[in-house]
Amino acid sequence: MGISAMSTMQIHDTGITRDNSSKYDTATGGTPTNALFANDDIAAWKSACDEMLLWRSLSSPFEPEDQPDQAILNTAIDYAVDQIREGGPAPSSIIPSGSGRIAMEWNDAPITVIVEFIDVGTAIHTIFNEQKVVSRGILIRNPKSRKLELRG
Amino acid sequence: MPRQWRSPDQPGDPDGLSVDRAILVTSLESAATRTDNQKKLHLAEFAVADLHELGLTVTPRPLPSNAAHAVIPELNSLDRRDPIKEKQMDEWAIALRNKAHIVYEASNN
Repeated sequence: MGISAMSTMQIHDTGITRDNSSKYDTATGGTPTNALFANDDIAAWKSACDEMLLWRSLSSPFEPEDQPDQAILNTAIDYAVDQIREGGPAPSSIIPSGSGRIAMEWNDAPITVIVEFIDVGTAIHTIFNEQKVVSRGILIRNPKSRKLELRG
Repeated sequence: MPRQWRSPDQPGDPDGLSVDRAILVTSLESAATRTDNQKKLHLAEFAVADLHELGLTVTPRPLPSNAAHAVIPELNSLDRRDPIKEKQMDEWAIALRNKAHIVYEASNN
């Protein structure tokens, strides 16, 4: 077919990445299992909030086609604030995932957890084990608790 | 991942995810440069053999502005509307991401 041995792919999204040293509980997608990381997590979440607020501003670094949707950004920021309150582990990366969406990712090999915010108060929560999907559910904002809760 | 299908007028990436063929790339800097506004992008590289190992293919689709352009047809926005195919695509994306490595980091982002 004449394809070269390697292909390159442009990555249109800048994003937030951090050293992946935190632990998480895959059952809840939240509770840290090692309190020693708690302060680092709070700092990382706050940094993530600052960055996402920048993305929401006029000085957003993204091209129009990559720009996260404002309402989806708000949902992601609300989730981050909830996680600070609850002591949730900070993600290893947060990136615009295209079409206005935002994705947060946690890695602890062989487990990867991705929460992709797709609409106002709605996110897809996926757990991969060895690159295979082992769990997928929808996080929907509970109007009473005002928190994203896992359904299905 | 391919851009989402939103409507017939906004089909996302119906032909597949775009990549550049490394053998036709003159420099990493040029490959990382958007042709429309000259802004720089991060660039990741993976082997075609890695694609094939996952059951994916790559098809040359040269453009007037980019002779190196090709697509991974299995990663397309139309199939992504099907929940079963969407799950498969997510697994492919994670596997491919894990095989790829960054070869150029844009400094203007």
